[in-house]
Amino acid sequence: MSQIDKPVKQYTFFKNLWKGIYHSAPFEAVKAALRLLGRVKNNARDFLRDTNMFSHARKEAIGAYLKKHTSADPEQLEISWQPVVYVGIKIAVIIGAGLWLYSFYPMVAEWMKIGLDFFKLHEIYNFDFPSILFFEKIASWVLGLLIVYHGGFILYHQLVALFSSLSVDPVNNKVYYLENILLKKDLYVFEISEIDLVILRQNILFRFLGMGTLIFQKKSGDQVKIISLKQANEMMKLISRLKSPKVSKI
Amino acid sequence: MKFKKYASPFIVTLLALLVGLFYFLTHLHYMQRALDWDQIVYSNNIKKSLGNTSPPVFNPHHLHYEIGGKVFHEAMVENLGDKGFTDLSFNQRLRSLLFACLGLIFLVLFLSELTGKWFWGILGALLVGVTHGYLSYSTRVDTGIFPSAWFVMFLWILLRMVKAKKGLIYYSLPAAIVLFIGVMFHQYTAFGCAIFCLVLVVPGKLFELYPKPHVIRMSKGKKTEEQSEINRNFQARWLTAGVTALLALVFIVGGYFLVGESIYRLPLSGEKGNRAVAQAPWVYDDLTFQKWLFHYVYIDHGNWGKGIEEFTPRDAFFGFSEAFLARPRSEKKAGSPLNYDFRDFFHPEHLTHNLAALFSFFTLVGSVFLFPQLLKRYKRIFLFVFLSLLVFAVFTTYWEPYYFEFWITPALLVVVLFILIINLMAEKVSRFLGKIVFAPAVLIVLVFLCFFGAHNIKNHFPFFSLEQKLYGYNTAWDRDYYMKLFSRDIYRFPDDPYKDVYGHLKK
Repeated sequence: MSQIDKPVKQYTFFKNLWKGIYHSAPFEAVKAALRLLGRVKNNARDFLRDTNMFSHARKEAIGAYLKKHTSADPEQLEISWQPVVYVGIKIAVIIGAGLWLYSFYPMVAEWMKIGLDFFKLHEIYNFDFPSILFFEKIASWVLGLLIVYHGGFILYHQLVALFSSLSVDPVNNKVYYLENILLKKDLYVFEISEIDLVILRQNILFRFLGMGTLIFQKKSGDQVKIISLKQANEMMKLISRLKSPKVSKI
Repeated sequence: MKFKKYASPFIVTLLALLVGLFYFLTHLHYMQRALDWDQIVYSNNIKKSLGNTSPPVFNPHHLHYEIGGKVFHEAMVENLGDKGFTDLSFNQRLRSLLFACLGLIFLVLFLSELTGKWFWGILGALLVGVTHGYLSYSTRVDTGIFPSAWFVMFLWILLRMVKAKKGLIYYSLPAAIVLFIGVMFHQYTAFGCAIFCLVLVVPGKLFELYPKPHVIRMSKGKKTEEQSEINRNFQARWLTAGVTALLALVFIVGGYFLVGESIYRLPLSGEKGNRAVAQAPWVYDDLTFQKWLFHYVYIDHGNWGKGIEEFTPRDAFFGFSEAFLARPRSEKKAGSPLNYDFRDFFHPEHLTHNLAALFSFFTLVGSVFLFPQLLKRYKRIFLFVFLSLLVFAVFTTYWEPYYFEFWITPALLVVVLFILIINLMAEKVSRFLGKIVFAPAVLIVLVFLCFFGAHNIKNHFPFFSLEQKLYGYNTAWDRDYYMKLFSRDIYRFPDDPYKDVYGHLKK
């Protein structure tokens, strides 16, 4: 009898018992819960990292995300976004303008009263003409709804701007636009060679601040517009260098 | 990323609601107080069914009307009775008005979305609102406004289906409900239902007439528009049309059988019905189900359905004209809606009528000459509007050409067609001259709006609102039959409601 054919004494009972326990429903549930906890922990870490508005920490977070999902090297990436202060000012202006507009509701109520009075219904029918409180209630609701709808839309886009970023990868000749609203992230990847035209738009204030809007026109005709980026000049400089036929890579 | 065009749906909805509110308040100010034959009969039908003493009247032509009126009146009395809404006629007028406003609101939404310009929605809806047919039937105790206003829902739901990028089949149920309600509002809307389903199955290639030999695409940053499912997917198109038609048919047949068989217990066979078995009002209790269903076709003493055998163009022209413009009235006698004179176009007496003729002529000629362009630009919607206009015009000419009640829907469709044509022309010209060309186009519509509006307000409101009036009624009727129907409780001064507003205008 060869060595191979010799039966090996195995402690199959304990092995099977352990397997049984390990794959039992309560154990599976505990494992799933631990896995979920791990995922929650990782997501919470990412979430907290994303909300970090300090330049260095944010760059690290975006770099880590791009490294995870693309072949980008975080060390080589040039990353830019809308300045936090600029977004904050916009949010403050929107909220202020909304509240200021809402304060006009007594005036709108007065107009509504004049409007209904024009039809003279209380002089024709057995109706009592509604008091100013009735009109104020309607006016406040109408104005409130308008402001919440439009304000909500604009605020949503400010939040998108606050967490989104544009990165240029000089190694792989790619541009990444990461649209981030914390609960969801969309990553757009563009080949620099496919971009036909790059436009840098700056008004006089943005020129002082070094900010600008970058517009990429692709060969397909699609346009990508990323507004109010800080260091837009540097981004433009880098992209045009990458577009140059002499220096395709750094 | 680039900002999307976000504000328009909300703003347009708000504007549509404002148009509806304006129309509602204007009519509330000039609420009709006149009664004619139909209004007296319908009011009494509803009145009789209120106490549950007699079986409710279900007129097969407009199955919803009397029972809907009863429910609406009871709801008003229950909820707003303490505010004075206990008057039957007034509540029925309010019901018609609410539906008229609903039609206008959806017309604003429809035209705005189709043309992409909110002002066409508002102008189109106001133009429909001031046409005499719509204006007059908005506050009548009558059925005319319901199918016409609801026809806008046909247009709107079709637009939703045409624009659907995916999930077209899910629109079948709402579309079938819209078609079913349309038929309940009036049997003749069945033509609209057939055209609706036909338009759904037409292949998308039909609308790509005259393909150019070369096309230069400049997307200018816009994403190439994804084709809608109705043009893209052959199966989805046929399946949706089939399911819509089937569901609508089931609902409609169910509705008629519920009334004819379950409530009225009308027999299906026999030359005449069985009066002993039937539980219908006396007018219907000797009919079979089929004869009840097509009641007006069997009535031999009526004037209906003679427009083909005894065709006179003047009748159709008369009814169509009156759907746009009220008869010119003076203190002594009523004029004719055919008050045209092209030899003296700008004469104050004929100008509005001449403009109405020009309006209709422009629409007719425009839709014929620009047919391929309109088909290409508006696709299924134009086809639906055009075919509906054609079929409803032919039906009205056959059924009741001399009276404007059945011309309300064709008049509405003419206005819609007019807006589509003028928008298309402005779009074409704006390629060379810029968007400024929309200004004269709007001005043209405004001219029509002002002239039609002024004419109809002057010739309609004072004669039907300021005075309590009876016209075209059966003089053999008992006085109590109609006198009790005049609204009194709701007014501060029932004999002269406008005393405080305009002073003593009467007589």
